[in-house]
Amino acid sequence: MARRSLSMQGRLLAVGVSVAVGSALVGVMAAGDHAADASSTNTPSTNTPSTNTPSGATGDSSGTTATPNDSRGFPTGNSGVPAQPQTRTGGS
Amino acid sequence: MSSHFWWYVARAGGIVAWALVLASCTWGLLHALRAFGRRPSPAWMLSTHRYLSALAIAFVAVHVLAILADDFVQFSLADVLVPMVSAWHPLAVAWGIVGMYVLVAVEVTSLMRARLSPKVWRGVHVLSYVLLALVTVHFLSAGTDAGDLLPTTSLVLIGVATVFGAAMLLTWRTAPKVRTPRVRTP
Repeated sequence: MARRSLSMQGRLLAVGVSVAVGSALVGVMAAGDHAADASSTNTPSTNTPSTNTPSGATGDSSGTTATPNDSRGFPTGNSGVPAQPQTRTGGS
Repeated sequence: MSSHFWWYVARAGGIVAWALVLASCTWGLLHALRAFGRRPSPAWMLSTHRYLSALAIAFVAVHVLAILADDFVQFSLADVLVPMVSAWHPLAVAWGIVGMYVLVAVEVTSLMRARLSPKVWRGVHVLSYVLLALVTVHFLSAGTDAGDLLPTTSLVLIGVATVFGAAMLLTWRTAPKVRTPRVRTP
């Protein structure tokens, strides 16, 4: 007999897969930023910092400034600080 | 917990929501075309299509709420609800906001389908393809995870496939039905 609607197992599976994929993405993003922070702290910077004032966008564990921000606090990523991961440029 | 936890959740939620919108549109297209025949049943296909849409709305909510909760990028409530208000890439964010409203409109009219005329419901439901285009443009322009060539290429291919599928559906729907005459035996 043909199924009339999506079963409860199917619904739970869909939610589970979605949440698992989302969690994996969060893990990958965090790991990528952590690795980028680690490499940036090991690279000496010869440029002078931007005149923009960072607003709380500091590195995860190193305590270094991650990315200077514009007046609204958005990371601009165009200053003289060491290269930052693209994922820190804001957006959704 | 990472200081950017909500920022990661917002991005991941947006990507999952986009994938669910894509899956729901694809599923709906396959259902409308009766691509699989009678197995699985049309009722099961429709139920799955509806569930994927509901999940997409849930992950859009996660995406928006995480953006509001995050203090790395500072978005206000107006920034995420009113197009062109955001100071950061207003047009790129506006695509997502309009897409969110279209998604809600499609979902609400589907829930109220019994009370609406088929013409109204179909007119709003066809906007799903516009919705997919909007959120894809939002993903490419505002998203920070679509910078690589491979994802961009994939998204363009998906867009082409969707347009092709929609055109196929339209052609199939508007094509004159040809009935083979029954031959009566004397």
